[in-house]
Parts: sequence; C-alpha cells; structure tokens
Amino acid sequence: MKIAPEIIQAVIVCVSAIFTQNILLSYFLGMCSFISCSREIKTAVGLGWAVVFVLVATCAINWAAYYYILVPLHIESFRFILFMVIIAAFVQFIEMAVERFSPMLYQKLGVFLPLITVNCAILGAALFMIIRNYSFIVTIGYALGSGLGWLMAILAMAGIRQKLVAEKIPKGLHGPGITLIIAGIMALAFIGFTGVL
Amino acid sequence: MSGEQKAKSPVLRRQPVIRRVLAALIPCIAGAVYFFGWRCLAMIVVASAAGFITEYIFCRMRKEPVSEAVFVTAWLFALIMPASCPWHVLVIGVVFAVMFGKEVFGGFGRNIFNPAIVGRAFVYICFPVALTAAWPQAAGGLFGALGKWQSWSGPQAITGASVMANIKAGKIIISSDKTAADTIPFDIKAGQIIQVSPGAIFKGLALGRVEGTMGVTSVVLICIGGVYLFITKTASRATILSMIITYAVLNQTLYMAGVKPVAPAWAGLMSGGFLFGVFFMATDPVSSPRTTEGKIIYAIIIAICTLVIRNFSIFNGGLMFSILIGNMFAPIIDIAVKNIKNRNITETA
Repeated sequence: MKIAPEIIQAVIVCVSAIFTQNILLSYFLGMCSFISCSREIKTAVGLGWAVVFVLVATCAINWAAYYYILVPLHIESFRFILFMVIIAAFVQFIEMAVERFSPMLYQKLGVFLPLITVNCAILGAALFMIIRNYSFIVTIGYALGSGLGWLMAILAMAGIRQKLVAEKIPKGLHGPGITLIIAGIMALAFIGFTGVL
Repeated sequence: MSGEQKAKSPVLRRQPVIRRVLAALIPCIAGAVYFFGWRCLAMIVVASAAGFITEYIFCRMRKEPVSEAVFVTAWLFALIMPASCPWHVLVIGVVFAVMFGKEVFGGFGRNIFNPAIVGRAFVYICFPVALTAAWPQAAGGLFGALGKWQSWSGPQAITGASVMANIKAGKIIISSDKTAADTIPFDIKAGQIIQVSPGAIFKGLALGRVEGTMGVTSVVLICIGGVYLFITKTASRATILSMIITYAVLNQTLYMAGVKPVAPAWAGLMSGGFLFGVFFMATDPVSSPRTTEGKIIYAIIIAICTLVIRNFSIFNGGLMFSILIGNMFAPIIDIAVKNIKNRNITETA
C-alpha cells in the first residue's frame, strides 16, 4: 500500500467533508445539539472541538473494529450495535476525563457531553466510512473534515444567534424556529459548492 | 387606525441612504428596458408591489412603518432575474426574500442575510430551468427594445446558456486568432466550439448587449451607479476594494497557472454581475460585518468562494452563494475582530 496517494486522497476527502459534503449543512446530521448548544459561542466552540475529537477517535476505533472483528467473523450486520457501544463507551471515558481536568468546561457542556453519544453526526460518519469503503488514512481525513465542518457551522450559527439576541424576532419563532430557518439558509448557501470536489 | 396615529407612524419610513441606492440602480433599470424591452420595467413594478405588501403585513404586526429598503430588495431581486422570467417565479422569489430573508429576523436592519440573495438562491434551486436555461436575446439596433414589450419574439430567441456559462463549458474560447469571430454567437449547438476575439467579449460585456440577467449585463451602467455609491460613501469602500483586488489577483494567478476552465481576470470581473454584486449586494451595511477589518476579511472570503464556485462547481451563480456564505460568517468575524482588539487594548494598557 502506497502512503503518498492515500494521504492526498485523505486531504481531498477532508476538504470535501468540510465544504461540499458538510455533515451538518448537506446531510443534516447532528441537528439536535447544533440547535440546543449554539446559543453561546463558548459552549459552541467547546462542543465543536469535542465533536471533532470524538469523531476522529471513534471513527478510527470503529474502522479497526469493523475490519478486524466484524468482517473476519462475517457479522457485518452487527455494526450498528458495535459502533454505538464503542461511541458510548468512548464518550463516557471523555466525560470522566473532562470532569477531572476541566470542571469549567464540564459545567458549560453539562448534559450535552453525554448527548454527543446520540449525536447522529458521529454514528453517521462511522457508517459513511463503511459505505464508501474508505481506507484507514482516508477515514481519519474524513472524520477530521466532518468534525471541522460541524465546528465551522456551529460557530457561524453561534455568532448569528449572539447577534439575534437583541432583535425583535416574531414570538412564535424564538429559539429553535429561527435557528432552523437560519440553518436552512446556510444549507442553501452551501449547495453552491456542489460538484467542486 | 385613526388619523392621529397615522401621522405618528407614517406608512413609509424616509431613508436618505436607501434613496441613494435606489438612484444608483436607475441606470441598470434603464439598461434592462433598453436591451430587453418594457416588460423589465413591469417586472420591477410587480416585484416592488409584492415586496411592499409582504413587508406591510409584517410591519403592521410590529406597528412600525414600512422601510424603503424593501424596494432595494425588490429591485435588486428583479434585476438579477432573466428578462424572460415567469411572473410567478418573480413574485414567489420576492415574497420569500422579504419574508424569510428579512421579516422573520425582525424587519429592517435586523436581517442576517441579504434578503434579495436569499430569494434569488431559493428560486435558483426551486426553478432551475426558468433561471439557468432560458436567456432571451438582447435587442439590437440604435433604439434597442425601446419600442417593444419584450426583446425576444418567441421560444427560438431564447438560448440555453449565458456567455459565462459557455466560456465555462469550453464552448466559447477567447482567442486572439485572426479567424476568431468579432461577435458573440447567440446560440451554440452541442459539440460546437467557437473562438471569439477578446475585443468582442470585452465590448459585449461592457455595453451589455449579451444574454444574461436583465439588469446586470452592462458593466458601464453598473459602474455609473457603483461609482456614485463609492464616492458618496454610501457603500463601504473597504469591502468594494478588497473584494475586487482579491478576486482579480487570484483569478489571474489561476489563469496564468493554466487551470482549465478559468477565464482571464478581466472577463471574470466584468461578467456574471460580479461588479453588481460588489457594489450593491456585498456592501449591504446590515448583513456585512460592522468593523472595517471584519469587512476586509468578509470580502476576501466572498471573493475566494466566488472563484471556486464559479469555476469548479456545477452552478454558475457563484457570487450569490458566496455572499450568502459571507453573510453567514459576518457576525462571528465581527466578534473575533472585537475580541482581538480588546485583547490588544488590555495588553498595551
């Protein structure tokens, strides 16, 4: 296996996962934490980096688990259960680490850290990497790109919502309503990148 | 509503800045009528009426006067439509633009995205055929289409691709060969490649007698309004300059490096309403960052995205998507710039 073309492909996949196939704005995965955690920039950034980290780490573990455990045993259909168990266990581990080393961040992220477990973006990326037959290095690039794309989207959304705090939004649209409309317009903008990579 | 209350809150809010923008758009409207016929003026009127009614409904709920900015939205939106755009597309676009681009955020001065572009992107995705594959031919002759309702007479005078789309697809090649054509061909058959001299392309784009969206085919007319906005400081000079410079430099670099579908920088700058977007849309003070540094970063983002989307994506409306992307990051850019400034102040103090 040659390393150089693998790495080039990983970089391409990474960039395309950020822009053309943004996991949030093109596939609408990970919406729940996107909506609930984008009210404050600090929380958004914290959660965003947590997603990047968890995505890369779990995708790597999931890749190894899939190709070294499930495939040799011919039980590929168990991947949903296995991936979820791995993600849940990993997030639990991260949660303990964050609580131990950064109580501030732990307080900010609060209930949302365990919510990463059920963040569909994480499971979604793991499933996409299997469907698209990515190799290990490409998987890392893909996971990194998906995470960064998610971080970018939630950062932009947090900035917008910060600005909206003082505005006269119609009553029925406060909170999730206006957030979904903004996310829709953001997705509209990202359609423009279709076909670039 | 009683007369007394009416005097307190007039139906229309007077806004001198907005009036300057409207005045700057008049050359483009005149150009649209000259090249494509009186139907264009009717489109502007219909768009204004639809926008006004939408805004009026929301403003009555908030008990605020209607802002004149709604006419800017409607005019901008109509001007970036093909002249043969069906009426229902026009009305749906304007209503969507005003409602979801502006009113859901609380009305004038509170919108995150440029309303005209939100509407345009929406109809672009929803009615792709009407907006990307039906360009009527501009009228020729001294008086253009001044005596006509519309410049085209039937479906045969409607082509599937604008000049820029043809250059991108490789159907028109800009060459300085002696054999190159002196006029821009109107309809190009599949598989045919036509060489056109740079002079012909330049003349077509400058004067505006080419296929394209109705109000933004002519660079000269756009510049009349744009320079007026630039001189009166109605539009942000930082945004305009950094956007044009970034785009020109990057485009020329890619062109010289021989990257395939990239046209020379002058053609890129002059076509597809790039200058129109620069002068009238990207500079929208509401949806662009407030800080000067922020405006420069924002303009650079838009220029880069425009270049990428125009040349490498499946869509041609690069500037439109890019301005939306720029708008989307404008608040966070502002916050970042302010944070950095505050940090510097506390460090020096």
